[in-house]
Amino acid sequence: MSSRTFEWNWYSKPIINYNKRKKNCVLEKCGDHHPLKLTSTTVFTNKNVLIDDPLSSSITYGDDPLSRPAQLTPTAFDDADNDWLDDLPPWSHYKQSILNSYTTSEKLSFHSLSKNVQSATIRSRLEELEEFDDQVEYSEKELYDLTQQEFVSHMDNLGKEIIHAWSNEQRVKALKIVIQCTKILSYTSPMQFYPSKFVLVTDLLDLFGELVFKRLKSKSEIIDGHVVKLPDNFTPNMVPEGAKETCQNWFFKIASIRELLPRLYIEAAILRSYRFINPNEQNNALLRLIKMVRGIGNPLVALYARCYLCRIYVSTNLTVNYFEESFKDILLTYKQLNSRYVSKEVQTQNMSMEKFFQLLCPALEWIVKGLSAGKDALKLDEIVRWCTLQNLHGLLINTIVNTFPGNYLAIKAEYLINLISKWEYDVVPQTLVIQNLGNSLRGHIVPNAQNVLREAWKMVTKVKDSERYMACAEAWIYFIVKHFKNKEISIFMNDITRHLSNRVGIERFHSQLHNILQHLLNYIEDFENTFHLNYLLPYLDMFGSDTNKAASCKIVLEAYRTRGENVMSTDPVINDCLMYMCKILHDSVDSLTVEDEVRQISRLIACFIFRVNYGNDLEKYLNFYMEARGVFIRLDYVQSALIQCVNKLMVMSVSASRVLVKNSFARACSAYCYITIPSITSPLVKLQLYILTGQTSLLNGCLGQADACLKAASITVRDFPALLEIDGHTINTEPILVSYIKQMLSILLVVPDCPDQEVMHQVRILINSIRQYSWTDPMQPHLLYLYVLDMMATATLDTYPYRIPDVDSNDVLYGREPQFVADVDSMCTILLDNILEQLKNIADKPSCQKQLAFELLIRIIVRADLNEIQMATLAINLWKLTRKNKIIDSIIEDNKVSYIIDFCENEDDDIYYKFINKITRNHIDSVQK
Amino acid sequence: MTINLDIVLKRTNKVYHEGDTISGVITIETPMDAKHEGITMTIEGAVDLQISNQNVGAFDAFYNSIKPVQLMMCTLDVARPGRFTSGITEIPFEAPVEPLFNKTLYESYHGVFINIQYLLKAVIKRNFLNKDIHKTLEFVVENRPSLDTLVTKVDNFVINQNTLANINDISDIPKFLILGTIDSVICSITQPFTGELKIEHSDVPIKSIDIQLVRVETCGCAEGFSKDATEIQNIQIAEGNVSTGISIPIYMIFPRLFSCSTTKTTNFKIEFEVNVSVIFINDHLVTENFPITVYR
Repeated sequence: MSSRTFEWNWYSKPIINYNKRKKNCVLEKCGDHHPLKLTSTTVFTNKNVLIDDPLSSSITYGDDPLSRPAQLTPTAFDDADNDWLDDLPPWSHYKQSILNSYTTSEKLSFHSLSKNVQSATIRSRLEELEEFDDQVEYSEKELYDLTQQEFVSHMDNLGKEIIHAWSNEQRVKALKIVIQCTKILSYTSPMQFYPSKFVLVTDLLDLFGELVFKRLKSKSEIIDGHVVKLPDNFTPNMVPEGAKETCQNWFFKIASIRELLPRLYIEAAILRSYRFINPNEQNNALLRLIKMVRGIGNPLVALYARCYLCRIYVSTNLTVNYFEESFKDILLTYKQLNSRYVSKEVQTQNMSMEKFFQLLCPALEWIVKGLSAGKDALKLDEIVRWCTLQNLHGLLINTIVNTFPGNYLAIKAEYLINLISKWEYDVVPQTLVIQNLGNSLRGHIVPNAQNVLREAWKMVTKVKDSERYMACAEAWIYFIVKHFKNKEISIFMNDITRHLSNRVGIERFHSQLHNILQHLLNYIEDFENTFHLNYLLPYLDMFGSDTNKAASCKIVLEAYRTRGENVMSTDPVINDCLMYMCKILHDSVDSLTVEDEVRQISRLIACFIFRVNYGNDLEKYLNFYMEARGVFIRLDYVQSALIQCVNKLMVMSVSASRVLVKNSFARACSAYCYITIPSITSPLVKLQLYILTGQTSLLNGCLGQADACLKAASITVRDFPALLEIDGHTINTEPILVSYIKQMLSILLVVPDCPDQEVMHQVRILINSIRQYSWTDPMQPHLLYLYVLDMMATATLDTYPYRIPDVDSNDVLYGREPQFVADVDSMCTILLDNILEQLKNIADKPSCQKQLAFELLIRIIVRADLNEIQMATLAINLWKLTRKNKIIDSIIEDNKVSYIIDFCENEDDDIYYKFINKITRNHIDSVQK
Repeated sequence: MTINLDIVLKRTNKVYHEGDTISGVITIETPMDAKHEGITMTIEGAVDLQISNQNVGAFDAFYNSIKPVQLMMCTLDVARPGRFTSGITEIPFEAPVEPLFNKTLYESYHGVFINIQYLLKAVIKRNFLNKDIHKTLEFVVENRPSLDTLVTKVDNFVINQNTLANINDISDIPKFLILGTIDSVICSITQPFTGELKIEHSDVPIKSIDIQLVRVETCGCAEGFSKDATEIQNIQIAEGNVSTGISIPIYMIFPRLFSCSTTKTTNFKIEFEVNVSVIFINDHLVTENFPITVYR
């Protein structure tokens, strides 16, 4: 400051003529274009007008473009158009689940017509070479010790070989391969793999059937050398003799296959081709094939063969319902399942009967599904009756429970439960059926739910096996939540807790426990009272380890967030309970937790904090927030939420009463904030909170605290990073910072000076921060200085334009003391120097220079006292400077000029009129030029 | 230079009845012009009989080939000597299906000891530098289906430990009872052989149940006489230990070339039988035999 470049001294205007100005600054002046003017909502007033909003129009099922791909997924049997078959799930769904669930680690051995499957030893390489000589000669040989993977790839290869042989006119070879494949199905070992084996082999059969059909069709389409397209619904008399002959030959060939199983499967596979000879034969043949299955002694093999026939039936679109035929045969041979020969065979494979029955399930379920599809309740009753007539009907009832429509089962639930409870020696465990029933009843209203649950649970509680118990509990939670109130739910949950506590290996059930909890909280009718029930904490205690516990707490809190608006937030018990869970959740956060997870957890905890309600007891609130701060120390978001809450408290304390005692409370609050804010990492949040706390402290008359906060805010401004990442976006912070600085300036106006400090020390600190901050735009600090000038000039007035009630600002404190005004003016002079310096520096950038000059000019006219000759001269000089440069944006320019003129006209002093005269003349001159 | 000779019949299934006219084309495919000394076509049918060496002595076996009986013989001159132009030449032909004097046409049949075969033989005669070109095509002769269906004859049967023949000690045999029905032992060759069978009871688990079609060929003439039963086909109708008390269908289609109507002539006889065999898990076998009459 010692070496001054410019001799201009700032003199603030002693008074601003508000009254006169207000009169002129009315909204009308802006006409229709005022941005804050009430806009009449004309657009959506007419509700009856049908607006063709593409988003609001309801999406009908078929039109939804998103659901379409799912419908178009090719399924094995999408050509069947029998209505009732529509609710039959396509086989392809079953197929995948079978392949996934029935696997084996055992080695597979079987006879096969093929070349190179055995492990690549030299021996087989040699054999390959030999086979190269006579490729047609495929010898039957035994394949030993294939792993499951090798088996699958072997089947794949066979499929390719079939296609290859077929396209090379070696159709008999293709047939031979298919026969060999089908023979695999007569070997049940290893049993566990049989369902998957069935799927793999039947895929080949389907392929073969398709090849035969296509070949016959293409043969039929050539009549006298011309291609005549055969319609889809062709009849035999459209088929030429040659094709019929070929077709007949196929059936003759297959009829002479010695073994039962290949004969049956392959005829079924090419059943469709009967259409070339006699479509009615399809019905007869299928009926015959279904009867033929009776000749298969092994129930597993027989059942899957039936399943295949039913599949063929679905795909051939016949009119007679063969599901029923098949199912009747199943019932006729049902006793076979429990015969001692079967159990002996199962035993030799080291398998329990229960496991064996599970192997039967997919095929049986598929058949029963087909059987029950589209049937009315009476018919279903009959099927149930058939089943119950069998001895040891556990498997059948289980299948029914799994496949029948839920609404039927809901009506029958009581009957079924009673039926199940009577079993004593059935292989199928009661709990398994109960579990499946629970799943099937999901979403259905069950009459007499009380009895159903009582009977079911009587059986379930008897079970020692925890896994069984938990499976049932998981399945039945839907039922219980839907039908019962808190009392029963509480009993149920306690039962689970009692059953599982003190068990070893409780970790196994964590996912099930999670599911139960999740469902309970999502669907319980009386959510508000859930937290009153004392089962929740013991239940949570079952999740031993922290991560699991945290996950379940998260479920609870998530539910609380979405559904808990009406939970009594005043109840200390509930609050303690929630606090406990929040604590666990908070403790689960560590440096490895992903950002998104942290955010979710933070939101959940913040939600709880916001909802806590102590009525008017502000002390209690503060205590709670104090506790929360200590507990949730790791989460910034929660900390900032707490500060917001405390700030709210402070405001509440102002409005509550104006007794001095409150002041100490406000001090405590303010101190709380001041202590807490530094722990937050985000500088932006920090800045916001400092400013906010500063304001609220001021509001409460806590001057020292406000001072400290604003000082801290200034320091934060100085250290503010240039770039900030918010929600994954990197943003430039400068514009934000500028707006916060402006906000701070307007607050600082009313902050009273501390008697120990020099005049306007807060502003000094802020100016220093602005100066020390490394701006990317060198213009920026100077533009900010302009605002500081605004504020400082205002500070010299004898009454400030706004004030805080009960807080004396500088206007009252100093009462426009000359020394104060001089001090402020000297500060302004320094700023002015700075700006002028900058003006000089940017002489090479005329547009910038001009802009800055104009801004400064306005400040001087509005804020400075033009009666001082220095100011007036400076104004004229600046005006000249602005004229010097070419007009770039004339409209803004003109607006600014007219503003200046308008302002000056409203001033009383002569100098302003002179000034107007001066610039208008100049202005007109320049325009004329 | 190769000449391809082929005979294509008008009927794709190649089945003819007595009195029909067999017609078709001889196609000759040659890449370049070729000379020939005429084309002839022979239509012949014959019964070949053989006496198996099981029934006759080793010495007789030397003579075991009996002179074939000719049923049909007809020669056509299809083309006079001339040239084939390159490409495909098609020459139609036509001939009646008629037996020789005093003979009857039997159904085509391929057996072990008896063969009834009808052949079309086309020959392109070439000059002495080139070999003649032969082509043979078999066609099938069937009896006309009889319009009046013969009476069906149901055969119910029971197999148990007591019905067994050629056993030593009945007490060794486990108890079993199998009931069954053959829908008819007089069968149309175009229809499947049907019936059903029910295991009422069995002490020993069953391994397999088969239906066996057997031909009984009898060659009888001055030089010797033989009767042989050989298997034509075996159809498994049950695998594994089937459930008791449920009817298992018996279903078998007569194979086309290897079966024909039951034929009885002075020189030879072709008859058929069906065996139902039940194989137990210990490989013991129980067979029930049904002589059947096959007609068309």
